[in-house]
Amino acid sequence: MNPTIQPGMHPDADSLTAFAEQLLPNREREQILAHMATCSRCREVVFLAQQAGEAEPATASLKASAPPKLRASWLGGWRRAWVPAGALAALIGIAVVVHFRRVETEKQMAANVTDTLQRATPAQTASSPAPAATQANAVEKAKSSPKQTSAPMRGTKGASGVVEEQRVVRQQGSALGKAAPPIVSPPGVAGGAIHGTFAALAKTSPIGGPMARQIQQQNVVPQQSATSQQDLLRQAQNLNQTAADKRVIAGAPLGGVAETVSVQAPTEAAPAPQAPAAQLSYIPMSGKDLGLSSAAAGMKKIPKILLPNGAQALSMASAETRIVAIDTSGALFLSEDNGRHWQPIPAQWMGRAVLVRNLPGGTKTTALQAVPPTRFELVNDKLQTWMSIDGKTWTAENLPGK
Amino acid sequence: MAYLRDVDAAPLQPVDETLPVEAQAPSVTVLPSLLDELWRECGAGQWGLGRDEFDRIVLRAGMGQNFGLDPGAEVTNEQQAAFFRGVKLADLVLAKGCAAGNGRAWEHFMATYSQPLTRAAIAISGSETVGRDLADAFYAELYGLTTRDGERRCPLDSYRGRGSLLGWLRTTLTQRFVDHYRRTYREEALEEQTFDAPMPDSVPQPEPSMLTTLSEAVHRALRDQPAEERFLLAAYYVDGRTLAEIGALLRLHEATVSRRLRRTTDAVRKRLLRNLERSGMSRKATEEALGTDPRDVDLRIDLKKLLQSSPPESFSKQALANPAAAKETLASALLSEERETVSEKAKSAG
Repeated sequence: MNPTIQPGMHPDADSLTAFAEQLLPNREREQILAHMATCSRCREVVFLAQQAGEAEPATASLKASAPPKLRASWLGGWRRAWVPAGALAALIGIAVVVHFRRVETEKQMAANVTDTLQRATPAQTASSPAPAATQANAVEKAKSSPKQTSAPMRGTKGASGVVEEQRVVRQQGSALGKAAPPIVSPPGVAGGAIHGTFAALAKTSPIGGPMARQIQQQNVVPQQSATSQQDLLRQAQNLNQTAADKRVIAGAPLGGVAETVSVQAPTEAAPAPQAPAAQLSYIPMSGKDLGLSSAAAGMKKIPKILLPNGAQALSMASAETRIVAIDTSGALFLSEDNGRHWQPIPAQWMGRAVLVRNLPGGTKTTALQAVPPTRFELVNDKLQTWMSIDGKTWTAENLPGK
Repeated sequence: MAYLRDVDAAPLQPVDETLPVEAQAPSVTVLPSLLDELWRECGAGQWGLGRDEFDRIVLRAGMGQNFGLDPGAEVTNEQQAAFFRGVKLADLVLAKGCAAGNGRAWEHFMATYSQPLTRAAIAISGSETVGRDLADAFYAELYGLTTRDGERRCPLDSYRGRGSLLGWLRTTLTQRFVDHYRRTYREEALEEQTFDAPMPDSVPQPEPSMLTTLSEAVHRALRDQPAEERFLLAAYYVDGRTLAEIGALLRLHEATVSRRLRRTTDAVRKRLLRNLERSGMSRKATEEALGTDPRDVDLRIDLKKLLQSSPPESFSKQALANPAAAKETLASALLSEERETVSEKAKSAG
């Protein structure tokens, strides 16, 4: 029913209410609007009732929300706690992510090391870099006379005092990194090997990238051949001690730093270009071999090589999938699966083993000629050597009286 | 089995003044299944209404409005069902129960609407004291204390369920308050107020013929506008309502109301110019007529009279405070551009 509004009469409250509540059909709504366009009384009624209705829901909502006020305040308290709780959760999440990334990085680095050991070739062995002492010496000299850097250093200085010179390098850090002239490897000598100590130094160095680059450049210096076995052993011991010192200095937990210290030195004193490749040990911690760029080699973490007894490898050599390693106590371990599993090798030598390295078997000259297998060489603290092909059976070599 | 019941038609009240309609109620057949369904949906049994009384109330309500159809039209069962689903049946049954003097209905009514109605009265009057007095008087009226021709009258009997019962109560309460105010505000004594004598008009008065032409042109221009746009003009320019208030009533955004107002104003102005030119005025005379001071136009053509036919003045505070300013606003909006044009020409000529 649509009551027609008569002139002079007002719509009833029912129609006005339905109009305000948008419940009227269009035709009747138009009638109401037409009336209200000319009727101030009905406009006032509708607007006042509308305002009273708008005020009512607010009051009603207040009344309705009164009982759950306690719950709202309880939630409100928790709402304040959401901020630190969220921050804590985010912190935990970041820590977990960082932890897993670190684990993955370590695994990747370990894989790189084993791959590198597998890819060890005679050429690489022959092109091992010069002793760090010479390199550091070269850097030190480079400050005063850059022109005398490369050639005069070759084969002129022994490996003694390498620790002191490393410290010099470490202390003079970034300044040396800028002052040291580029050192070019001579033809036929491949560089790129990073000594384990240098890797640890670069890792623990607060200087970061430039220092690591500097160290890597120093390791590219052509090798020195005039080092004695005694110096070599002393160097190995000193390097290990230095690495331990640096772990302490750097605040890292003992055993938690992945230095795989290997000592490099020719066994015969001979000029570098003429140095026989077979007498050079292979240093596995090469930034190049590890797939590290020159800039990031010092920053990336060296993989941990922990032996079954929990000690770290003092010296390590590999051939194909076989790895032999000596821990700091002189015990020898063998792994035939790229370091995944280790087995102790009973001592078949005298004294305390301090060095192990591999000697390539030689080159293949004819198609029918078999390539001699790579041999491992073990050196004890008396500079006596033992040879082994499989890493299990060791035979003495050049022993006095033999 | 058809449910046959003879009921009395509820009085039809299209206007505020109750018009007693004593229609002879024909026999109405309502399906009992529909009544059962309505009974379940209504929930009137929760506050103690009996089923027989519910059926009687429903039938009476439907008969009173002829189920939403024109008087005398035949109604089908589907139309009956559509009618009952289109009204606020629960509110309607409660109101009819109260009007019939059902005690349980009154208890439920007071428990449900007592507080909201009091708050609404306070909000409408703007005063707690006045609001409570207004609410108490309204309760008494609702209870049927007023009689006419010896018969108890209950306003709830005029509720037809087209809107919510609470909305109806608010609207009725507002009507009572507005009517009371309109009756009594003229009786208030003027306090010691000083009124300045009107300043003599410095603007030359337009000719009476021009004012007549202008008044007719404005009247036609406003008459041709749609009802909603005329309502917008009246609410905004005459009553001084804000865009938010108008938007809340029409369920429109303020920006929409503003755009419609501007569009309406432009349309009215164009129609006004066209009407003036059609009345024989030249373009120059049209501009001169529109360039007349709006206050002069207001005083003479009584723009308010064109917009509203009811004699009482605007109830809004703005209009009460300064009715001339409220009237001036619409005329200013309509004539502002023309006045600017005339003033620019006067400057250039001067």
